[in-house]
Order: sequence, then structure tokens, then C-alpha cells
Amino acid sequence: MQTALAPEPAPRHSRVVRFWRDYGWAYLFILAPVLLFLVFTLYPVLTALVMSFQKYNIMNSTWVGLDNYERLVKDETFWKSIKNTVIFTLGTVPVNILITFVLSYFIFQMKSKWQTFFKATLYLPAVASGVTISIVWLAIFDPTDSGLLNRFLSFFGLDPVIWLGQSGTALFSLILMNWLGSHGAGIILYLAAMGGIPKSLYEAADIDHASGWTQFSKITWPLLKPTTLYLLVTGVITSFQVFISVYLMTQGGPNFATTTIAYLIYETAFKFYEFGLASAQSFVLAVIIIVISVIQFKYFSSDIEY
Amino acid sequence: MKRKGLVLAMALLMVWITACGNSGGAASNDPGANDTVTVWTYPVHGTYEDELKDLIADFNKEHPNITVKTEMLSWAEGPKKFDVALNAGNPPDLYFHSVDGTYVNTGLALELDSYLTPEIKDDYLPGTLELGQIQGKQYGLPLYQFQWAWGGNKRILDEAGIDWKTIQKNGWTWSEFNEAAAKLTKTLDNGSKQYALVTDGTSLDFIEMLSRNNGMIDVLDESGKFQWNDGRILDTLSFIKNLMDQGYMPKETAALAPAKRTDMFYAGETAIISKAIPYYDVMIQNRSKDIDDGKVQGEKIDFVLLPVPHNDNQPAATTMGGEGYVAFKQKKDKGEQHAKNTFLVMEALSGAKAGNSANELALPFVRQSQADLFKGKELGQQVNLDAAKEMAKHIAMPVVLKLDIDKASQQKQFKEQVVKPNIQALFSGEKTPEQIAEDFKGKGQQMFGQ
Repeated sequence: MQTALAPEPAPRHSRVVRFWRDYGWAYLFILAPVLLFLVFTLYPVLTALVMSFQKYNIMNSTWVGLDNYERLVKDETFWKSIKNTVIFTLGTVPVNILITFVLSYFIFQMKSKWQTFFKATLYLPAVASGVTISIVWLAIFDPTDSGLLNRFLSFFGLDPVIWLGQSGTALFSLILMNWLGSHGAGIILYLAAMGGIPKSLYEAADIDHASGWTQFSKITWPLLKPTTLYLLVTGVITSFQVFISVYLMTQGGPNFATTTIAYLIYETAFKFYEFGLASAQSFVLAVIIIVISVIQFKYFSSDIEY
Repeated sequence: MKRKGLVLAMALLMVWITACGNSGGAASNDPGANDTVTVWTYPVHGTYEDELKDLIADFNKEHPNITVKTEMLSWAEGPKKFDVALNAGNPPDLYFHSVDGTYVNTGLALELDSYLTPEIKDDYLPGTLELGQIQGKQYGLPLYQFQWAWGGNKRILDEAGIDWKTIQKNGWTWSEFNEAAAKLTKTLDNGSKQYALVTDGTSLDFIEMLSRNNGMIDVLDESGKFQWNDGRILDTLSFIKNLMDQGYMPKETAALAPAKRTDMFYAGETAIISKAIPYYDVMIQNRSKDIDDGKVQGEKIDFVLLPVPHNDNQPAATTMGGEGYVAFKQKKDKGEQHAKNTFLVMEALSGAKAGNSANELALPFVRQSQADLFKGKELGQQVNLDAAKEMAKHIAMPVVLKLDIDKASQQKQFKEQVVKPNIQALFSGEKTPEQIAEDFKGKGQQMFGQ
């Protein structure tokens, strides 16, 4: 009796040829974006990491080890910028998500053409340039009687406020500006998610005589959690990198009241030419964002099903 | 996958790597070889772009082998663009700016001493060539001397009985200014306020000009000794606080941008503006013509150049410096001949005809040839031209030109990170002069070790 012989392994070169025949085009198609990623993302990040351990000079950098990181720990301005950034994040992200959700909920009840109108209108700030928006808000926050907001206050007999010129109001002014303009993308996402909730769930809830609040808390809100988590994570990442409004409207003042970590990195690099220190600051920012994102995913996504 | 596809992929990869690779070739040392010199500049005055073309055309008649590529930057974004280029190791060959120690620190600023001929040195008026030096080495050729002062609205000054002609000639003290400010501050018939003085809350100019007029030319002196740690800076801060408390300056000063400050001056809401430069005279005359032509609405203003007041027991000091072209090399050095060509272009853009810039800006000339060429063609009112000349007698030479480069960099950081936020706090009433003076002392000790 002859036993069946195991087939001989294919020669190596034919395995390679088969591999390229099966997957070659796929690798060719992703070659360009991978190269772009390597050249314009990974390489600069690695260079910045090396720079963070150097006293950088265009002609001759010096290795300083952890000196830049030690300077950060002792730098009051750095901790102040972290504090300002955290306050800005806590002040904008939850409020923006709430505003976005409420607006989406009301828009969702409307007829289709009104939904389209409001979606387009509320999305407009997202397509407008941040520079343009900042310049308009500078006029609104004008500290004299002619500023729009101060004129509004004068109708109630209130004194003008130096919105961007006082430590107590400058950061709030930037937060207020953020509340009133950043909802377009979130509204689109929430409306799409609301449209994806099966109507049969609400019909079953009606049969069980569930109240409006019960339907909202047991059906709508849980099923919108993935979208909420996404907005929370991206909102935190974006707010931790707030720069344009600070750069154009307050330049980090008055008295560091609006100096955020992103603005501090910019100043350190391009005003003081301390690229090594700025790289160290940016890596600390990156670590903070990563840690917060991990915490958000760990604690807020436990009961999310996709 | 067919063999052709694999070869195509490899070819694309090789093209990519080659494109990203070093394509620089060795520079030629032949003076007649073709070369390109890049110049980044700013709209120094209204017709500077056309003037630049003429200067380059004249230059090319003698040096047809050297192509001059110019780029006109905006004042707002140009400095950032240059900073990025410099720190990437690829600055332009010539850049319009005052010399700066941070440029020298990069190792890319080009030393010009070996290119300066005796004729060029002799043409510069006394004290002007030094404005392009850092620690005695020449890095730039000044095109004009900038001058900072205050500017007055003649109508408002006359109505208040202020003898501005005597002030232009003899200067004024802080006490005299306070007396004048009391007369200049009032509520107008329409209910709005007229202030004695307005400045912007976003820059360091105001505190710098006043501290200069209180015996402290800068935060550090030429030897690097910390100056802002005694009673003089407290007096300066108290003077400013008094201006705010008395209502001579708007309470919104902390949030006033330079443009807003200028708007207030044009609207007649303030008698004096800080800072002002002699060119404002020409600018405001042009504005008056536009008002006559109906292009602009508003009150025509007669501009009066005023010196910054000095403390009663200190001498007057005028903030002045030089601006012109600074020369650079690149990380991939283009060789000695290219450096020589760069200097040739620099000289062409800084010579006698280029003195039109100083003339247009109503500023003092830096070269005798410029003064001779534009004699009798001065712009601006004679009374203000004379005031500028009088103020130039009290020039406070910039300390940064002599200061050690590292100390200059520390000083810049001190000003941005300690002085600016504290001045904003002073304007907004969040800190007292005493608290600020203590902060200056403490932070100065930390940063300068003094």
C-alpha cells in the first residue's frame, strides 16, 4: 500500500511570484500614501523627538539629554499654559457636545427641507476661515463702547467690558467664541446617527407607554453613544491644540491668561528659536492627548456596541 | 502581477527618492559666471517696489550675469516666513531687517567686513554704520535710521494751549507732561472722551521708550548688567499707572491694537499717539489729500512730532536704530563668489539712489551721498523735520548691537515672557507697579543670575 506523500513545498521563487501576483497591485496602490506618511509624518515626528533632546541650532546642535524636559518641569509658564488649555477644554468640549446634541435633536424633528436649511447654515462656520472668524470676533469684542458686545450690554445699562484685555474675561471670551461656532460637523454626525435608530424601537416603547424622557434616556441617548464618544475624543484633541484664536486675538495675553500649550510651543520655536525646547513641549502635549484619549476609550466605550 | 507592474513601482520609487535627494551642485568661483541672488524685502514706502526695480535695472547694467530675484513680503507675515526659512537653513541671500543677534547665532549671517571698501565706509555718516553691526562685526548695511517718538494733533494741542514748538526744541519732563495731559483730557460736547495719550496694549514700545527716558537704555546694559531692578523701573511703572488712574489714557488700553490706536487718533479722540514715527507726517498729509478728494471721510489732522518725555532728573533719550539689508548664507554654502555677488547687490540696494527710502519716510539719511542727492527734496513739514533732527541728537544706541549674543537672546525672552504680561497687567489694573517691580527683580535674578 502506498501512503499519500505530502505535496512538496512550492519553490521559494514561485511563492514570491504568487504573492506579488495576488497582492502586488494592492501594495502599489498604498505605496504613495505610505511614502507620504513616512516622509511627511513619521520622519518629522522622529526628528522632533531627537530635537527634544538637543539644544538645536541649524548649523550645529548639541545633545543635552533630558535638560529640555527638566526645564519644562520648572517652567511656570508651561504649567500655566497646561492649566489654560485644560480650562479651555473643560469649558468648550462638554458644552459644545450638549449644544450640538440639543440642536441636532430639534433639527431632527423638522421636515426635510428645514433640516437641510439648518444643517447648511450651522455648518457654515466650519468652512469659514478661522482667521476671518477671529477678525470678526475682534470687532465683536472691541473694548470700547463701539464694540458689538459692549453695545449690547449698554442696552441693559451695563458698563463696557474689556473682554480681551482682562485676565478674568479673556479666556472666557475665547471659550464663548468657540461655543457659538463649532457645531456643524457634530450636527451632521448626530443627525445621521439619529436617522439610523430603528423606528421600531420607539414604536415598541409607545406600546409600553414609555414617556418621552424614558424613550430618550433608554433608546436615543444609548444608541448615540458611539457618536458622542467620537465627538468627545476629537473635541478634546482639537481643543488641546487651540491656536488660531489665541494667535490672532490675544497673543497669549493678557499676562499669560490665554497662553495655551499650542501657542507656547509656537512662541518657543518661532519667537525664541528654542526648537529643542519646543519639541519637548510638543511631545509632552502629545503624551497628554494620548493618555486622555485612552482614558476616554477605556471608561466611556465599555458599553458601546458597533 | 506582471513584471512590468513591478518595474513601474520600482521606477516610481527611484524617481521619488531622487527628487528628494540633494541636487545642489558646486558653486562657481568665476566673477563672470551666472549667479542668482535672492532678496526678501518689504514695502518700505509707497513706491518702494518700483524703486527696487529701478535699482536692480541699474545694477544689471554693470552686472548682467547676476540675476536678482526679489520677493515683497507683507509686514504681518514676512517675519514669520523668514524665521522659518532661516531655521530651515535656507534663508534668502538678503533680507530687509535690522541686524539681530539671533540671526548671528544661527551661524548663517554673513560677515561683511571683508567686502566693505574704504569708500563705502567713508560714505556712511558718523554712528550709522555701527547700526548694522553686532559686537563690532558688520552684518548689515543700514538703509535708514528709524526713529520712535510721539505724535500730536496740532488742533487739540493748540486748543489746550500746549506750547508744542518749545517741546519739540527742548523736550519735556514727566511733570510737564502730566500738566499738559490734565489740560488735554476732557469730555467732548458729544459726550465722548478725549484722551491726552493713547498707546496700544499689545507691544513693548511704550514701556521701552519711557524706561529709556528714565536712565535705562535697555533691560541690560552693554556689559550685560541687569538694569530693571531698582527705583528707576518702579518710577517708570508708577508714571504709567498715574496716566491710567488720572484717565489721561483709556482704561481699555490693555486691549487696544495698533490699528485701533491709530483710528482713535484720526477720529480726534486723543491728543497724542504713541508710538509715532516721522513718516506719519507724510502719511497724514496724504490722508488729508484723500479727504479733500472725497476718498476718505474724517477730520484733517495737522501732525506734530513730539519727543517722548523724560523723567525730571534724567536726560532725554530717543529710540533709534538702523534698518536695511542683512546678508545670509545658506546651510549648503554657495561659495565665496556668491557671497561677493550678494554684497554687490546689497550695496546697489543701499547706495545713494536708495536714500529715497529715508527721504520718503522723512528719516535721517545714513550716507553722505544720499544726503547730497536728496538735498532740498525733503518731504514732511519743516517743523517736524527739524524736530526729528533735534531728537536725533539724543540717540540711545541700541544695546543689543554690543551685547553678547546669548545675553541678547535672554533679554528678548525676558521682555516677551516677563515684561509684556506685566505691562498688560498694569494697563488692566490687575497688578500694582510695586508688584511688577518685584516680579522684574525676581525673574531677572532667575534669568540673568543678577
